[in-house]
Formats: sequence, C-alpha cells, structure tokens
Amino acid sequence: MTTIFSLIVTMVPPHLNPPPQGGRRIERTYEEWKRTEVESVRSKAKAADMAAYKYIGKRITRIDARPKVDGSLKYPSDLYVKGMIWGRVLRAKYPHALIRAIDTSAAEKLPGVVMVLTHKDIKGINRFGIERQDQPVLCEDRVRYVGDAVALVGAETKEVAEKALELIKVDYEPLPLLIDPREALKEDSIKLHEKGNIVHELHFTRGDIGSGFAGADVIVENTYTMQMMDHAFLETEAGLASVDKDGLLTVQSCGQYAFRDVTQIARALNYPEEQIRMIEPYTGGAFGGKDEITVQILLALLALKTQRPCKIWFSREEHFISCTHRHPVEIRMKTGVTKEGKLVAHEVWVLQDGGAYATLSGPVLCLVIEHCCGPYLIPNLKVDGWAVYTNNGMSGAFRGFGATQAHLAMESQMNILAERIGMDPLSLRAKNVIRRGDTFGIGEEMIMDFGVDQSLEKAMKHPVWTDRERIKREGSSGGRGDRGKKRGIGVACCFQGSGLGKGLPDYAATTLELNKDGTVTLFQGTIEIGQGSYTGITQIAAEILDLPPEKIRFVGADTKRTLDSGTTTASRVIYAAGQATLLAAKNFVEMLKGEASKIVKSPPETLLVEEGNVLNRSGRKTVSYREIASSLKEPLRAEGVFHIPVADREFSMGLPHTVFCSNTQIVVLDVDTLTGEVEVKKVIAVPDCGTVINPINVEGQSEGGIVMGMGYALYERNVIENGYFKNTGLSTYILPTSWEVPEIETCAVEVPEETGPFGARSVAEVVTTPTAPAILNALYDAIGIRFTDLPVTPEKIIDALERKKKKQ
Amino acid sequence: MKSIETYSPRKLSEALRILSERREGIRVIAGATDIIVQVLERKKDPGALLNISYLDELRFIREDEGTVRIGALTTHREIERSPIIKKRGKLLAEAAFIVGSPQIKNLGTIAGNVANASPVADVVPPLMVLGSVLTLKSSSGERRIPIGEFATGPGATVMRPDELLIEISFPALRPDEISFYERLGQRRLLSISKVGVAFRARCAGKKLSDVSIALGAVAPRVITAPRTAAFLEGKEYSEEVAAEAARIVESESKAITDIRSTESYRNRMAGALLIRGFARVFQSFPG
Ligand SMILES: Cc1cc2nc3c(=O)[nH]c(=O)nc-3n(C[C@H](O)[C@H](O)[C@H](O)COP(=O)(O)OP(=O)(O)OC[C@H]3O[C@@H](n4cnc5c(N)ncnc54)[C@H](O)[C@@H]3O)c2cc1C
Repeated sequence: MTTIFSLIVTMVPPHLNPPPQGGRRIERTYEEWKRTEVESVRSKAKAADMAAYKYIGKRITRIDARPKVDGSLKYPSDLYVKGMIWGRVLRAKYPHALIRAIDTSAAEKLPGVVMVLTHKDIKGINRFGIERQDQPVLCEDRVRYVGDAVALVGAETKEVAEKALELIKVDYEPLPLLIDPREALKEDSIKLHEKGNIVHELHFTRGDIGSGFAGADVIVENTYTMQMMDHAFLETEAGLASVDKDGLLTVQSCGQYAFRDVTQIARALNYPEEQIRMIEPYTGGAFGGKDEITVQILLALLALKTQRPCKIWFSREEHFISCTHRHPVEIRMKTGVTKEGKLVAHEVWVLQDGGAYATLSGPVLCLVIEHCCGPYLIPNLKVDGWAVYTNNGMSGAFRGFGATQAHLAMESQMNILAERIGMDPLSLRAKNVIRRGDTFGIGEEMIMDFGVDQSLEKAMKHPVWTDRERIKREGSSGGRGDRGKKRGIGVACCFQGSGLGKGLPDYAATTLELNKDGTVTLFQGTIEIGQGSYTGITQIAAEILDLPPEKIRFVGADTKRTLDSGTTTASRVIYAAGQATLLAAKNFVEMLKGEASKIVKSPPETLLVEEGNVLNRSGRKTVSYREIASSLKEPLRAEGVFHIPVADREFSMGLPHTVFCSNTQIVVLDVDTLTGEVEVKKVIAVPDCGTVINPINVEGQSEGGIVMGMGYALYERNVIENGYFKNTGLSTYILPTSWEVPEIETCAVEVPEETGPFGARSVAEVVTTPTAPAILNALYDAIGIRFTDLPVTPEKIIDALERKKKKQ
Repeated sequence: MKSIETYSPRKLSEALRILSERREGIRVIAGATDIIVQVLERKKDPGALLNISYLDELRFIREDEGTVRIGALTTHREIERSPIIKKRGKLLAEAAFIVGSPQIKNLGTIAGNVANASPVADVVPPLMVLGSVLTLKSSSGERRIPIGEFATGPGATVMRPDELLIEISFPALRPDEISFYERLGQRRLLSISKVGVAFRARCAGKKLSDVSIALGAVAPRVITAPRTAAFLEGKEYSEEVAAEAARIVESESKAITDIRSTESYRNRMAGALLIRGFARVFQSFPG
C-alpha cells in the first residue's frame, strides 16, 4: 500500500481548554465509554424498551418551529441595527488574470461610501481555508476564479455600495485558463498555485488486483461523470458584525463551525482570538456550503476598519459564483464478480475538479476513496485518485462529501453486474455486505455494529420490491392516453461514516445550567442549520433530566457562551453532541442529587429525578429543581464531553471512520418516451440511523435528502463555460419543486449504536446518496438505457432512445 | 432605498392622458412580474412607472354574441378558473394553469404576458390559434389588430408608447371545435417554456378542418405552423396522420440551443407535443 501526501495539516486546534467555567465536567473517550456504558445502551435500546422512554423516539415538535413560523427567530439575514453600513464585494472580472493595479479613488469619492478596502488593508495572512489556507480574503496580484474577492466596499446603503463597485478600476492582465481537470494533471500545464495543480492524491492497493480479476466470471467497466451542483439553500450567506469600545469584535453570521470561524478570522486579519466572538446558532440552510468561510472575514474586516456595525448579504448570483459546490467528478470503475455473486476485484480511478482553491477538496477525495467499494467486501482493490485545481469556480463540502459521487458509480456497477450474472440486485448486495469485524475497503476494520444488512433485508421484503413486476406493468400504459410511458423500479444502497474520521480532533461538549426558576439552560456549540438537531439534543437532555423539553432553554453556537462542540457537518451532531449532552445530563443529575441530599437528608444514591423534582425511592421526600436552585450560592453547572472513537490506523487525513450509517432506497419512476420527461412516483427509504431520537426529524431528513438526490440525478447543474457561470439564478439553475416531490415512505431500521446517545447514530447524509443511483437503475429498468452522466435531462433521454432505435 | 416616480391612476382616461404626455419617459406596469425581473437583472433605472393595476374597468371576462372579451388586467388565476374560458377558450385555461406559480398567477396579467412580447409567453400561442384581436387605445383613438401582427421580435411590438393594450378578444370556441395547449419546461411548473404547441380545429367525427397551430419558444417570436395546418386540413385523425403532422411541424420549428434546451430537442418536441395533445383530446372526444 502506498499513500502520497500533499497535505499541509493545519487544522484548527481544539478549543476545549481551559476547562469549564466552574461546575463539573465528565469526559469520556470511547475506551472508557465501552467499559461503563455499552451494556446499558445495548439492553435499553432494544425495541421493547423504547416504550419506556418519555421523550426519546417521540414525535416531538421542533423547539424552533414556532419562532421560525411566526418570524420571531432571527436568521443572519434578518439582522439589522441602527447606524449599520452595508458591505459589498467586488468580484473578479476574469476567471484567471494578474492584477496590475487597483484604483479605488473614484469609488471613495462617491457620497455615502464609508470605505473601500483592498488587500493592502489586511494585516494578517489574508488567507483562509479549512484544510489549508490558500484562498485570499482580498486578492493581491492574481485572481483564479470569477468569485475571487478583489475589493470590499462599505457604504451607507446597499445601492451606494453597489454603485461604488462600478467605480473601482482594476487593471487586469488576463491569463490562459485551466478548465480541463485532465489538463491539470499534465506536467506542462499552466500552474494555478506555486506547488502545482494537485490538491491531493491517493493511491491504494489491497490484495492482488490481477489475480482478483483472473478469478472473475464477469467484469464490468464504466466511466461515470458528475456535474457541479449548488447547495441552493434558502438563505444566501449573510451576517452582521460590530466592534465595541474595548475592541471586542462580534460577528453574527451563517456558518457551520463558529469556533473555527474565530480562528480563521484571527489568522487572516491578525486579530487576537480572545477578542473575537462568533454567534451563529441559526443558519438558513447549509448542506456543507457554509462550512468554509463566506461572509465572516469580510464582515470582521469591515467592522474593524470602519468601527461601524456592518452587514453583508450575498445576492443569489454572488452566492452561485463565489461559494463552494459539489465537486464535479469523473470516476472510472472496473469491477469483477464471480457467477455465484462474490465481488472479487475492483479498480477505481477518480479525477475530482476542485476549482480555484483547496478548501476541502483533499478530504472529499479521501471520502470518495473510502466509499468507492460501497458497503461491500472486495478483497482485491486498486484505487488512484486526484483532486486538482482549475479555474472552474470552487468546490468543497456538500452533503455526502464524496460518498455521494462514489456510490453513484458503485451502485450503478452493482446493478450492471447483477444483471450480467442473472441475480437479483438486492441479493447481490446482501451477499457482499460488510459486517462487524470485517476488514473492508482500503483495509479499514468495521469495529462497530453496522446495519446495512438489515436495511437491505427490510428493503427486499418491502411490498414495492416483492410486487415490483405488477407495479411495473400497471405503470407502463402503452397505447392509452399517457402514450409511451414506461415504468422502472430501481434500488441503491449506501453507507457513510459519522464524524470527521481519523486524525482530526473530533469531540463534542455540552453545558447544562440550573436556572433560578427550576428550568435548565442547555449550551451547545453546534449549529441549527435546519436539520432539527437542537430538538433532538433537547430530547436527550429531557429524557435524562426527566424534564419536559419546554423547560429546557437552548443556547446555540456562541463562542463566548458555549463550549467548542466541533463542526456541524459529517453526520456527527446528533451522535456526538447528543452523546456529550447525555453525559452532561447524567453529570447534572448526580450534582442535583448531591444538592438535594443536603435538603432531604437522604444519601444521594437513594434519590431519583422525576418531572423536575428529586425524590427518594419511597417518593415521600421531594425537592423541586427550583428549590435546589434557590438553595445554591453558585449556579449549578455540569458539562459533558464526548470523544468520537477513532480507528487505530490512519490511512490519510480523515481516513478511516469508525461509526457508519447506511441506507437503502427503492425508486419507482415513469419515463415518457415521447418527451423524455421523468416522473419519480414513489421512493421507499430504509435508513439505519441507530435509535431514532425523533421520527419527524428522521423523516424530514429523508424526504429532503431524496428530493435533493432527485435534483442531482435529473435537474441540477452549475453550467460553467470558460470559467464563467452561465446560470446564476434560480430560474436557470433548476431545482425540483413540490410538483416533483414523489410519495415518500421512510421506514428506518434501528440497529443501536453502542457509542451513541440512546443508541443513535446519524442520518443527515446517507438520506441523499442512494437516490441518484437508484434513479439511474430505475431508468435502466424502464427503458433499457444505462446513463452514466448526470444530470439525466429529457434531452439526453430522447437522444439515447433515438440512438437505441437506430441500432435496432 | 431608492424611490421611483410612480403614477397610479384610477381611471383609464387618466392613464391614457399621462401616457400621451410622458410618452417614452414612462413604463407601464400591471402585475409587474416581468418588469421586476427585468429591472433587477439589468440593474437599470426603470424611469417613471405608470401603475395601471387600479384600473378595475380593465378586469373582466365576458362573452357576447360569440365573442369572448378579456380585460387587460385579468390575471392568469382568473382565466384558469373562469367557467367562460374553460368552455369557450379551453386551451387558454390550460395555458393559464401552467404559468409560474400560484403567486405569479395571482399577479400576472394576460395583457402583461402579451405586451411583454416574449417568444416563451405561455398564453400567446393559445391566443394565436383562437384568432385573437388586441384592442390598443390611446387618448387619440383606438385600433384593433390581430395578435399575429403584434410582436415583431423578442420584447418588440407595434404598440406605440402612448397606447395601452386594453382588451383581448376572440371568437368563442364552438362545441365542434377541439383545442389543446401542451408545453415542456425544465420542470413541470415554475419554469420557462422550452417549447409550446397550441392547436385548434373544427372536428366532425375525427375529420379536421379550419386547423390552426402556433408554436412557442422555437423562434424569436411565437409563430404559426401553416404547412402542418394545411396537411391536417380535411384529414381524419389517426395515429399515422398525427405522426406525419409531427414530422412536418418539426421542420416548421426554428429553435435554437440555449441554457434551457437544445435545438434538436425543441424541434423534435414540437412534433411530440402535437402527438401528445392529439392523444389527450381524442381519448376523451366523442366519436
Ligand atoms: C417566477 C416567474 C415565473 C413565471 N412563469 C411564467 C410562465 O410559466 N409562463 C409565462 O408565460 N410567463 C411566466 N412569467 C412571466 C410573467 O409572469 C407573465 O408574462 C405575466 O403575465 C406578465 O404580466 P404582468 O402583469 O406581471 O406584466 P408586467 O411585468 O406588469 O408587464 C410586462 C410588460 O408588459 C407591459 N404591459 C403590461 N400591461 C400592459 C398593458 N395593459 N398595455 C401595454 N403594455 C402593458 C409592461 O410595460 C411590460 O413591458 C413568470 C414570471 C416569473 C417572475
């Protein structure tokens, strides 16, 4: 096995020190966890016991539902303060050019303009990037994509700021473009960065690929190409920043990791971390697209320079051109299987277009590689992958994070192989699945329980699958009214790690505090980006504290009030922050009992909590949380810290993971052979997310994930020509709407995760991954054509049908 | 916030007076669903605005003596739900249903759709095959022109700056007439037409006569398909006849490739939609 590293690992250090601001902390690593907790999780999480829970597994209304509906909850773009100014960014005119000079004098003279800033106004490294810092906040001498920021205007109104942008004169010298990722690999190509065009490359072999293929009865080889995709969240990037008289900079903005944003601001601008406060509890959708810095550093810079509160809110067009997207990828796969249905060899070649700067291209490539075998055992493997720089916009984190692209290819391969050996596609999958204890993929070990076999089994027994021949016949209506409609039914499966993987600090922390009125405040540093995790976390606390959720006040991401709880990415929040909350709550209950015992004069071990009271076993002596609170001089505060288990061996940064979720989907769709239109009629989803903390939230994730997957398969694409974005609005970037949403049935299998809170794992990414390959497989089932290039538009379908007709 | 000089007259005569005085320096807005997008995208100062949306006298759907009259300010929503249109201009109701979203349909007006002179406007092909006549009025008089002579290119019309489009009328469909509007967008609704086909003809048994066909989104303006219409004239409907008509209409379609679709797909779909429309009509048509 060989690995080539080109990573400069400069991840943000943990922010957990110094230890708690008073109170007590329980901290658990996986090893300790195993000793103390595993048995109880195992026994309790049995389905029969679920009824014993008061709040876990219940359809509890989201804690943010009402304020979001009545408008009282403020999203970052809703924030306005008196005396604030507007910031607007001048973006690059060319996708690749040298900057000879920037003249801001005319813009500065425009009445209403407060300040025009360029790279010269930045004292720090003027760079940002999660994995390595190669992206300029404001460009110095070169632009590498059309979204590059060249100057920043602060003005009294949005309109003046807009006008001022037109008055900034930038003298450019256009450079030749690098737009073909294959070209980027060549020795003599134009170099976009000093070290060349390769962001990251990975090369692995396992077993003996040659003898593997020699033992195969059927070998299938295909190339799959996937487009760039936009996160298309409802709220474009926004925020508000201000500086107080002591120099404390407060930035309220969108984001996915407040603590890392502090570090990125401090580093880029050379401003002390302690003097920066990020508040970003609620973000109007993210899906990975707000993981990297967007408005934060610009806001900080403008506020520090002008000493005025300032607001930045990207337009939809600005969002499209400047922010990260799902990586366009080309994946070649050659896969061998025996006629009995054993996968024996797999050769994979990956070329990923990362665009102008690194952001998370390296880690995304790692995940393409980690998931390139799907959730299946293949003893002989060879993979080669490259992530390269080009002038094609920017790509980075996006729900699925590479696993989406890997599965699109692999799940197509599985259906092709199944057909070639005459086996049912779900049976072929079931025959090869990874189980606990297996060594899989690039040589990782499955050390935890893994529910993919159960997910597949449940899908196989679903009536839509068992009755598929009849359902198919009913839909293909031949000569009647809906002329030429053909129905197809397809399946796909997937898995994905929870958490950041090996080599990156990965922990979560929760603080609980007793309020005078007997309610409890829960401090959590992750972010509510729409997924509902604040509600799930509240339910976990409620269960342990035996306190109704409405008695728990939630304080979300605020770097001066909450502890660092890691990123809101990587399917990790309900698992990691949930577990930290469970620990904090147990800790809190112990402390409550300690205090109560002084009042009721019984030893703590004889006490229980119930409905906001502490009582002794006979139930005769009771003391309420409120009474305990009023008996205390110092507030009662407890913390819980959970460290995500990590594998022993490290393959590359973020590789491998240890805890995996999975999902199987069945798609029923109709193809109109007259027009090439596709109508997805029904989707069955069988995720394994461990214990379901809140069914509404799991269904919400599943339904949203499926519609997003439909967009990937059938509609969405960022069109870039010669470095310029061609569709920068939602009238030309086509998202599915409610009219496209099919009937969706989500029936989770709950294989308890022994390290997760109440056995919960996670669900946020696996919900979207199988949809696109299942659609491709259903299309094949309907019209006998194998599509390998996304999105599959009616134009492509009509062309393919025509070609097929001509061949016959 | 910028302020825009806006006039909101309550009477048609007043609106016409303002128009004749201001001429070029003012733009008419009705539902503003097209204008807003144009102003935002071109980032242009729209100048002064004449908001005609209070002219309730231009909000009506009437049938008199075999003629359907629709006031300029009638919204797509009103058209889609109108019993008169459903019966007397069926394909127009089908087109109005397709326009945008409920929000857009509640604001967007029929005259706005026509006056905007976009080749992708959904209500224009149906109005063409219905033989619609537009009433243009200014303070100095009134003229009536066939809808086919109105648009001269994308966004360009024969309307003078002092004129308002006040009414659209067409002969009511008779019981022996069949009609349909079929179109394709990049998704089912809330999308701009990639190709649209409007069809109207008299039909005795399955025999077609007085055939009229219009195509949207396949040329710089909405066009008719006279050769296809001539081919179908006097023919009995059958799947073979439809297939042949589809081949002819494909050659009459003059589409281009752009961000939304390709030339070949659009041209081919003009034929496909004709087939689809026929299939829909003849399965429910008596005889
Ligand atoms: C999200 C969205 C979706 C849409 N979807 C569709 C669709 O599916 N199909 C479709 O065809 N269109 C669609 N449209 C376009 C638009 O909604 C329609 O064309 C609508 O009918 C325009 O009417 P309006 O009253 O809003 O026009 P306005 O925007 O008010 O005016 C449009 C133009 O017509 C002129 N005008 C308006 N009324 C008169 C009059 N009485 N006399 C003279 N000139 C006049 C104006 O000066 C302007 O130039 C969509 C628009 C949006 C924003």
